[in-house]
Amino acid sequence: MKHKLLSFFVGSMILTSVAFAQEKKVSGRVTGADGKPLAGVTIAVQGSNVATQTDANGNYSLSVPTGKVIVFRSVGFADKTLIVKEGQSAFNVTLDDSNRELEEVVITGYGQRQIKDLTGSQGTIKGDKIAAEPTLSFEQAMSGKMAGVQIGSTGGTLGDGMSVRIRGVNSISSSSLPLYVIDGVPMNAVENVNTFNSGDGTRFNPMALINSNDIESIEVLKDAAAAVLYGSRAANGVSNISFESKITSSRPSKLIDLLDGDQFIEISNEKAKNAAPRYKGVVNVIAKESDIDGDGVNDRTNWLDEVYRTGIGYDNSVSISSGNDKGNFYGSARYLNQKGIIYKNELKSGQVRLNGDIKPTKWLKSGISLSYSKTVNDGVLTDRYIAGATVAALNAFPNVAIRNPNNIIGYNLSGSGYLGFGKNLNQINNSSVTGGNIANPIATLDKQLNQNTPEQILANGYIEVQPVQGLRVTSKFGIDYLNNYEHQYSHPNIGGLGTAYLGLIQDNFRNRNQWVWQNYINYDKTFYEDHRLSVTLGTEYQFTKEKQVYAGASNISDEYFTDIIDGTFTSVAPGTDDVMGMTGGTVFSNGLESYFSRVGYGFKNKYLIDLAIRADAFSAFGKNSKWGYFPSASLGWVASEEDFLKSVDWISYAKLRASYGKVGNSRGIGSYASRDLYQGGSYASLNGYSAYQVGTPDLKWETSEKLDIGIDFNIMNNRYNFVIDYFNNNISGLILQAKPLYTTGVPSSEVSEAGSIFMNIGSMVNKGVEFTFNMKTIEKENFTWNTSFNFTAISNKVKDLITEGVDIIEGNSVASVGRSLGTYKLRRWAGVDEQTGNPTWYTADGAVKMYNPDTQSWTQDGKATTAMTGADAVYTDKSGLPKYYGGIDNNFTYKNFDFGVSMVYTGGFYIYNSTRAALLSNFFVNNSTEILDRWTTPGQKTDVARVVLTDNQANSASDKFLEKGDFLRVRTISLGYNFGGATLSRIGISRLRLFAQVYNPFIITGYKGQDPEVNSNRNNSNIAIGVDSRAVPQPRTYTFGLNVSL
Amino acid sequence: MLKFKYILMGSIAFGSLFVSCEKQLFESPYAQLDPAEAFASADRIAKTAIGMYDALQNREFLGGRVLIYSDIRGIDCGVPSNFGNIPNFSLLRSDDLIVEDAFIGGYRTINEANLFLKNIAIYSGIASPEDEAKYKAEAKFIRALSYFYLINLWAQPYKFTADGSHLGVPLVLAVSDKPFDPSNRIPRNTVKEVYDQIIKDLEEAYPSLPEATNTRSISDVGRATKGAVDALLARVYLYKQDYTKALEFANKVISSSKYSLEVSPKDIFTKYTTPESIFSVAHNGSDNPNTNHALGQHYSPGLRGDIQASPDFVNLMTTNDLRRKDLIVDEDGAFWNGKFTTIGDWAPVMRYSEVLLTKAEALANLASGTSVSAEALTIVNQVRHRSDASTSIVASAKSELISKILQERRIELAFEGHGTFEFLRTGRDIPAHGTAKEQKWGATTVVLPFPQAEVQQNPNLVQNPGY
Repeated sequence: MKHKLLSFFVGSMILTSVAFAQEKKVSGRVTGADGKPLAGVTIAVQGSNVATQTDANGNYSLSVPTGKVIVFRSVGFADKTLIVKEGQSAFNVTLDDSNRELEEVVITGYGQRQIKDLTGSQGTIKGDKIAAEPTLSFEQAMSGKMAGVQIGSTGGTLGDGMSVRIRGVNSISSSSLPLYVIDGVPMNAVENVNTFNSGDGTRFNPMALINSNDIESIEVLKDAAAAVLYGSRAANGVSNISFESKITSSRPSKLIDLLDGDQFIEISNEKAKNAAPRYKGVVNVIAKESDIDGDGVNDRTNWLDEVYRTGIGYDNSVSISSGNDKGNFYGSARYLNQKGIIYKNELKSGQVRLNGDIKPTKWLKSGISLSYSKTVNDGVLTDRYIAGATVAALNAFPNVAIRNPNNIIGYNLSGSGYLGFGKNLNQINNSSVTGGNIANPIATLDKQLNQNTPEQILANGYIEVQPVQGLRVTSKFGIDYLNNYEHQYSHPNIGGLGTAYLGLIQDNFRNRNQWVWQNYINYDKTFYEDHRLSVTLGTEYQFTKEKQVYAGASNISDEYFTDIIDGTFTSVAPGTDDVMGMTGGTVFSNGLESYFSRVGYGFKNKYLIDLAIRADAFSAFGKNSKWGYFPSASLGWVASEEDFLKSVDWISYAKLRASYGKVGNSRGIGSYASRDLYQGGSYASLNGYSAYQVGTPDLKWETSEKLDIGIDFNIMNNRYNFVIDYFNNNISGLILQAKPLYTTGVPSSEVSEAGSIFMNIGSMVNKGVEFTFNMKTIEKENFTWNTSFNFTAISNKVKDLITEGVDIIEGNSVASVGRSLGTYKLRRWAGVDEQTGNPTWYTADGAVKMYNPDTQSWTQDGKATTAMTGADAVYTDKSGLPKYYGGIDNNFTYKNFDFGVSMVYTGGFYIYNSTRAALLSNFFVNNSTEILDRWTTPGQKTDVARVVLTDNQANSASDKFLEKGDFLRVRTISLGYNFGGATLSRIGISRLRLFAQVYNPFIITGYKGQDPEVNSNRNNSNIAIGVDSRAVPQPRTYTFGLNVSL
Repeated sequence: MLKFKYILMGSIAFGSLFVSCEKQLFESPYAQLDPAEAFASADRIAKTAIGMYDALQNREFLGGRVLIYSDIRGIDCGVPSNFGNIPNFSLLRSDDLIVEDAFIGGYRTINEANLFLKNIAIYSGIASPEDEAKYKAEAKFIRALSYFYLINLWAQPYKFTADGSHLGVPLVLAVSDKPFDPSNRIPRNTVKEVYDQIIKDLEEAYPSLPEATNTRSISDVGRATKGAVDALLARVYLYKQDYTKALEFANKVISSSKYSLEVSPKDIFTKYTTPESIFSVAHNGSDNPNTNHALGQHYSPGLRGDIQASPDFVNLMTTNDLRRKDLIVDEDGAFWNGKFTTIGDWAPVMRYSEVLLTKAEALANLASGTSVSAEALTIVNQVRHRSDASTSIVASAKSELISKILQERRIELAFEGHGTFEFLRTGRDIPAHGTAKEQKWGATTVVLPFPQAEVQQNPNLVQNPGY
């Protein structure tokens, strides 16, 4: 059922001269090589839009003008063409699946080709595999499905982003995200549509706005360019309606074990007792029982149980397609509602699409594609925000209540609106011992709002003229209109912005509009049978403009008003007569101008050569460096077409490929990165201008030189299929928003960060091997078993950096010449001293230093010494980048049942588990159960030092918290049953499938944290790659669904 | 029909080439100005000069946080846990992010002043000569003020060595055209060199700056004035223990007759532009460095309330003392500083009572032998009696007078960024408080570490011992 619209118009060029032929009814049955009927095979009349599909029993019928060619087509089978001759009306057809997908057409950018003609390395994932997974955005469903592609998650909150790495990290600039191209039109490069809390609040990945049911296939260009192309399902001339309905139920895949109330009281009081020397000998009982909610028993709260829940969702979609000889259309609609695994996290989304093509004459084709999507997201603040509910739930005291009937809004809150401590002693000697305020997670989730409403219109239209055979001239215009309304409400009684402003409402409107205009000529012609030439020549212009308008209101008259409503607020700063003006905004634009050309030549379908060049100019680069020139060349040799191999029976197909080319990257760069600029910089009531950025006048394209050598071969009558590639990717002119020395004082785009400048800062190399293996393990009458396996081994090395001998540092990770990106540089943990319970570390030269929290001093071999310093951190040979990864899929069918297990694995990487360090905190906060192993008696062997209130030296950064991240995860297990037969047909249903699926059922890993796949650093951090910092775990989701086709 | 298809094809193929795309695709910024535009007119230059104060509001530095860092290492605040390990002397490490942010904030502020000086030289003659001179003077004032806090947080006090020859902080006095060039690896200057630069900048700034007007506005308190320069010079010389000079500049402020003690100490912190206010970093509700970094947010129990006032400090005052009645808040069973209560509060840097106390301290020190300076006693009581007429300071010996002046200074200027500086400049140990142990004068722990990342990238930057 998966067809490429455009595939109907390429390939065979048989044309008939019969202008108005007789219509003739043709019918028959389509079977596979095994004699089983094939359902859903498309039968189309070449050169027209007349088509139909086989039913569940493989039967079809349609009206065909005589003399026309009809094409039988189904995924995984070679096309079959027949010419309808006078007097024939029945055609029983057997489709041959031995040529796998070699005949299939893939999109390559500005055109499409058959897989067997490709000389580059390109991977394809079918849309049905994408749509089958219960993920909001389609990228995550690519996980493990294709060699060379690695997908990571930033968390299990609805709408969280993904990291997509194609053959490793190809840039350390703010974006190594691939370029997404839909229906040939590049999309907006936005990772998170939200801006509040510096983008660290509620995140929303705009890829979640794409209806994954609409995706026909995803093509990943691995060598020529790191680009992901996908085409939406298009009209295929088949009249069809299908419905799908799914219900999902999700739980966090794993949560951290925290102390319960009794354990918390014991540990906390032990911390205080051990801290007597710090508090002038006074031993305090800090953890005490309270009855805040007034229910007559001591309070106990499991905050994680309160914050996490079982999320329920449903997802209904319908698609229709139809066509006649002058045109076709495809339409779809989807509505989904998901309640996330975090209390109050909920998302509703509606998505519609309409694709249509018309072909009024033989030489003209035109079409439009239009989709609209709107999502209402009730987000929550999570890992990157300290008042985030999931972070607060880790720290919140388990011996206090959620609610307090005496509080003005009924929650257990202190005077400043944070979690009330009850009778617990939160300060000693006028010093807080809790390490800061803790939000009441439930009050926060109940009373505050973090909403966003993104809307997206993707539209494109094209016109294609074919004046002579083989020559096509195309003009295509597309827009990506992304609109986001962000809304945040901070309650006046809840600590933070709400208490500071007596209620605060903030709204941000973000409008990002991108248009792309492509004009290109394709010429395809075969000369003297053996010589095939294809030429492409074209231009592309792209323009992006973004506008944001911000409005705020504070000092709100009543908690009833959670929107900005005239007359319901004063915006007077509490305690003053100051009226706060809370409006703001920004505008920026950038443009891309490109010219490209490609020449392909094939001799006897055996020897293939492809040459291409493109020239691109991007507005953000320097005046004299904005143009980049990117040539490439590739060769292919279909060895199996040679006579000496034709005779070898067991080789069905073999091709050798090699490609070498340059690719430019400009993504993630500020719109005016090459210029020195001032911006508005007011000073209280006075207007002013202050420095905005230091520009790099000669900022230029980041350039990858990519080499790929590959072999594709199929053996045993195409039963086994192998693809092996070696790749070497040299990236020079790496662009990074790099930080010069702090003393240079350059301005920063983020207030909270050191100043930085977009610079070409160095070079690195990624090289490795990819291996894909597909096998029809068993093919029996009633039972089939297919296996596919892929494996990628990769290594990265930084070759050159801007300042010789100086690393680029981010947290505990470095970019260091001669080492893999993301190498950890850490102090080395030497364990807990058995006699005293004090922590010890190795110095850079291997001596052991011990810290005594009682005296707050250091000793080495029993003698007083200086403290450990930054110079004691050493390079490890461990990096956050994996050395290998891949996936294994097994699919079985037995009679009408189908069953599949899909697994992903990643290895050779290390995670800095800062969650674990944080949950061993010696502040008066809750801990993980790991702290129960703390040292208590001389001679005890343990890795957790004696607990001493407010002294966190033992938990400072060291390789103690560096853990192997290797894992094997069962991504999905699915089971389906296909109903068929006469009964269904009688009531007008051609196909009915019931299915059930478990997503993330289990994981095998030695990693101690929640989820080794979740990385709290998003795409914009390619140095500190593997940090786990209190991220929300991915959900485990159970799906039940029904799919009906009429 | 056949012709039409060629027309259509032709227009697609060549249509794009006629579009002058660069103009449509490559636009100038909407939200920013090139330096040439920011200095294009006298009016724009006036606003670009204001931008230096925007940078001075840096939330990690003189927006208020830098004042907090001195105080939470002092003894009147308890030991709050929201500021990394800054208040925990022995736990503080060079990778502390709060210390790093403060260091970044200081040099960012200085860069804005340096950048203005560079550009005003390029675009000279557009603003009037008087204005141009005034703006340059403001740049130098801001630079001097920023270095004052940098040198006192990251280096041992002036008297650590007899001639101030120990290591200070790197002096960056010009904007680098190549920020990544190794020439930016500036080593630490000596403390004396930094103080000399501060004094030079202030002396050069003085002639071109205006006097504060009697109808006080943001321009008289929130921007550099002659009074602000003199008050800062008085403080700088006091820190150098050059009492003659400190006295000279304190007297200049006093004799200018532009300043006087406000009747109610509370008003200084709510009205901001009182006759007592000499220099503050201005803020308002819409323009504060960051709501979460505002002084009021950290100190006020109704807001975040991160920092408490210690009972030992509160007990220094009688219950009649206006500073006890109006500027200390009793809430949640604890004491809190009441000087900052809202997110729009200005960050006070210099006020008249400080100048009076500087004069008193200078006089007391300059008195011959062990004699008690009567004038010093009068002045310190002037400050005391404004808040508490019921008690008077008396002293029978020089050392007693000095210590009582220092105590009055502690009470009067509490939570305004003088905390630890007061001990270090006078050669005193920092007493044990909260969980913090006593820190000996001259100990390695009394100065902040240079950020680890900076030391790693600048081999010429010598780390403070112990980090």
